[in-house]
Amino acid sequence: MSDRDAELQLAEDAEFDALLSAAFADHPFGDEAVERILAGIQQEERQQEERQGRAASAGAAPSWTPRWVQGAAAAAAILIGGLLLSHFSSQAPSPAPEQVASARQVVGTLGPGFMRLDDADHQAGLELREGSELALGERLVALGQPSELRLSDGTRVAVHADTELFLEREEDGGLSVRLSGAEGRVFCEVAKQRAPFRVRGQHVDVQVLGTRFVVDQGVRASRVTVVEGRVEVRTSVDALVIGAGDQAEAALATGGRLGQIRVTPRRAALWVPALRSEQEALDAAEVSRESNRPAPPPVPTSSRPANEAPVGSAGLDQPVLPPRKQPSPLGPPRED
Amino acid sequence: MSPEPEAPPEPDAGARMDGTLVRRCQAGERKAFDLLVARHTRFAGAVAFSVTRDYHSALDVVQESFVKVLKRLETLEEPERFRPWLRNVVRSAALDSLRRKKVVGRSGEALPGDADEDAGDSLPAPDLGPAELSEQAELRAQVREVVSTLPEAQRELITLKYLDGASYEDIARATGLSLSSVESRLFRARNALRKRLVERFGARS
Repeated sequence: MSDRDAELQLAEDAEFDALLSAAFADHPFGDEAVERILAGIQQEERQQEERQGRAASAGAAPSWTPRWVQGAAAAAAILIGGLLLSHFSSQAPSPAPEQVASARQVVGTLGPGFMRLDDADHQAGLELREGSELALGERLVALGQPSELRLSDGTRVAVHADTELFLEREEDGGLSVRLSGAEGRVFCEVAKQRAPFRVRGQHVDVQVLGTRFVVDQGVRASRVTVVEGRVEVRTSVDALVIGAGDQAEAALATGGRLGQIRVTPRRAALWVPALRSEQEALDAAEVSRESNRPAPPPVPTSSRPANEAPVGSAGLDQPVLPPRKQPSPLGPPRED
Repeated sequence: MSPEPEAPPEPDAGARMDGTLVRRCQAGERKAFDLLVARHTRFAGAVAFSVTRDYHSALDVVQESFVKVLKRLETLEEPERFRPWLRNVVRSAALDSLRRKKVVGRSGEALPGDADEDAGDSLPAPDLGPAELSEQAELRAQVREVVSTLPEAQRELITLKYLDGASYEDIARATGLSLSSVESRLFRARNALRKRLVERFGARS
């Protein structure tokens, strides 16, 4: 075989390889499959545990214990969750809201949207509508569309469709949102308060030092994106304080080590209309400036007093978005 | 597969990593299992697909297999040989699945996964129109159909090579074949495939 023939043969082989690789390029065994498999296994394990009467562990701390949670606090959280879960896992029909109201520690109400209050077996329970009371330890699921939690301290939590969570009270008096499903997203606008506000996921724990941020929990990785202010992100092996426009990611593949990148909040929370419209207003203003035309009037937004400075450290990045000026109109169907 | 006179290659860094993860998992560290799933889902998918010839069924088989793996992992005595062990679990589950569905022997049927929007983690080329995309998807499906007509042993090597993207050494370790055996079998499989593709599409393929 001449050199020319050999070259032709090699080229033909490479083309054939490419054809075969392309034939399997749309295989379904990628990241989504991994997430689905892990979620399925988790669900099966959870159901098995609950079937064996260990419902108390369903809302307990992640397999790794966050550093700031001391034993007593964890035990208290488990106890609270356990009492409530065992209540809901009984064979009796779901009690009416007014029947359980006395046992519930109400910490807020449901804003726009629908949520479901499930029992410990993930069986559909009560349907909550705008104005329904939210209590500690209850398993809440956003029903097919974003919902909003309005906590009594003024904090608002936009919950992505199909996200499952608990509200928990920490030993230091702080309130935690625990993302209890394999996947889930929340966008938090945290009011100033004495005790820390936290979001706890399977990979990361987020303690709020500022105001607005998104937690996006997946099976293989979780991301925290700060829109405004600062948060502290912790895993079992790492901790990081990130500011506006930063995203921290904890992935299984890195063993819980946190990575940090710069992002645009629009990419992180397209499902939150408030963020999207604010970013679009910013984009429009930018385009106007570039065109040497007068910028459009600012978006009429303002729940924050005009003289109130955005939360966050002056030494960190400027907020990616300007301080909001009106409550976020959350609620349309998910778009991503 | 028949036993080979030559031994498969020694465990590599990947196998050693598997061994570490399996030991951590056996010690009760659940995160280690998640990492094992993440590392081997595509491999398991390739093995399952070589038996089921159907993306959807293969995905179910992979899910079922990892549940079995989690339950039986503590019985694995050679953690570095996790991949070949997983292959056996997946093949066994896939064959069980076929028996349950009684579809052994059917080949060349449309692959339900082709139209699944969830299928695949690769995005289509952005500048192709619907017609071109449809044509490409159709071509991919037809090539897979031709692959599915190969004998099972050859199908497995082809899917490990082109679906999982495994090297010859990786395939040898996973299947227990010698390296030279993998090379010669893949050579034959590729030739058979090339011939069948030419028969179906003509010389332009």
